[in-house]
Amino acid sequence: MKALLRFLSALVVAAVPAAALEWSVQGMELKTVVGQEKAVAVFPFRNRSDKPVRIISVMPSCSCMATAPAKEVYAPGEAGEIRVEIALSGYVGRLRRSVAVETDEAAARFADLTMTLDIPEAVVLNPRFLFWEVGDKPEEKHLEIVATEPAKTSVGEIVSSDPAFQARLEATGRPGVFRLWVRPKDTQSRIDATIRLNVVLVGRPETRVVYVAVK
Amino acid sequence: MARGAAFETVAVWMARTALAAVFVYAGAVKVLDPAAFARAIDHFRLLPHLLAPAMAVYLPWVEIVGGVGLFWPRGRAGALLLLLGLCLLFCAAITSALARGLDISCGCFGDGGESSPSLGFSLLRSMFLALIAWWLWWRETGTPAGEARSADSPGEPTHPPID
Amino acid sequence: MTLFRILPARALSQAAWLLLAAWVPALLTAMWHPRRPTWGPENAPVAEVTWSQASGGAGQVLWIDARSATVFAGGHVPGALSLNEAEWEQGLPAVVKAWRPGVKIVVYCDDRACEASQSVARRLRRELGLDEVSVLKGGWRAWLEAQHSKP
Repeated sequence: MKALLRFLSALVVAAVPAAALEWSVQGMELKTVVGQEKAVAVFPFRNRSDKPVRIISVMPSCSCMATAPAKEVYAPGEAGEIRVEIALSGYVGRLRRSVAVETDEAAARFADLTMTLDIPEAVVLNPRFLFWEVGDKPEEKHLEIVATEPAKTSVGEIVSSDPAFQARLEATGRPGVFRLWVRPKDTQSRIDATIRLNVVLVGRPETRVVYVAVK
Repeated sequence: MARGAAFETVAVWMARTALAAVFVYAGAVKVLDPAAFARAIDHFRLLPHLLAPAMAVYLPWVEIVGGVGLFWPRGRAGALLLLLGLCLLFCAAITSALARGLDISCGCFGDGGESSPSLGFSLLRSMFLALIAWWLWWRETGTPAGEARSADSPGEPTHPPID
Repeated sequence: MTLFRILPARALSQAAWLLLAAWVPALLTAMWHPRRPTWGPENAPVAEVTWSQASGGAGQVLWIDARSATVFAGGHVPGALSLNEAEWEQGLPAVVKAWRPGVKIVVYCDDRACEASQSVARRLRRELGLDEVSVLKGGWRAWLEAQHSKP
């Protein structure tokens, strides 16, 4: 009877090959805050076998990550860690990155370490692009600027790259929410221009660009 | 003769417990992170995007309720029907994904892809569970003797079950 | 042993009750779970188009290459612009300049398994506020196959 039970449970549960390197976690979720420039994930492991294990390579899935194990060979019972630094600039939203660790073990040569991040957008522009078609009425159009953490953000000067477009900032009642109103002088010919918003994020001055055009 | 009947009852109990365990576990894991399950459903590209969150929130509980219902004699037949239907649904969805060459993970145990088994393995597993569910269903609702057994009496009433 | 049985009515009604019972915790999950899914059309996947649909249609197409700059330099759809998440701000101005009303944007990456084209397409759709954004089914590989099968 016990044999039958064991047989059934073996069928139901996927068999996991025994690996020499035992990882504390192989997937982690990282929280990031507004204004953060890089995220660090640390994956500790221990050599549970009775033979030394050598790490052959640590390969990130993109060039946005820097990885380094402390050393190459781990004696039986020795502990180590893989430290991953992910550059966050340019990315927003939900991100998934992985690192493949290759060792010289026979059973499980590759270990996949995954990191999931949720990168908040500090200043959300909705949308970032306003356009008028040639011959349209040159009426005022607006977009919404929302600071995700109003306490850490302040919106300052707005600069239009072309005098053909006039822009003004309007504060709404809600904290961190503004409206940017833009109007072209006329819509007779095609123009492409930008409106730069100077914002201060956690004490650092930054620029956000909005695109305006007559198409 | 008694030994044969007792063995069958023990086998039924074990199959039932295993089936319930798999479904309750699968449902519980999905309940822990419905957002991740919704993403996994989206990857199958079978449901319209706006329905995926509803399915992600409802299906795990159907699995749990179905698994638990197996242990309740008054709800057993319905639970088996439900679980059999779920297995067939999963088999169909996975087959469709395989046929379209979608490169996704099953999402069977919650997540949308972290070191999870291949679609082929998930399909075999679903088919195997469907077989177990179908066998239990047949025993539950088939012959009149089957109906009597389903009232939880231990096989032949005149002989005690021999282990 | 027959394979099919007419479903007994009691099983059907039991199943119906179970389905109904599952509704209650499901509703609670939908309302209060800290990780409940978001109902957001902005997270909706971008529609896929095949190569023939994209190139054969009436309007003009603006091709966006979502792969890295090095891969782009090695070969890309003629006239395509490079735009990827790692260098988003650098690549966006060219896209905005090239777009005209009525032009369809089609984003591609390596092949059918890569996610980059979906994330770039979604982000473009959201940031530029445009609807006519789609993803090339089969990616760069599909384009290569289309070139080889030309007479």
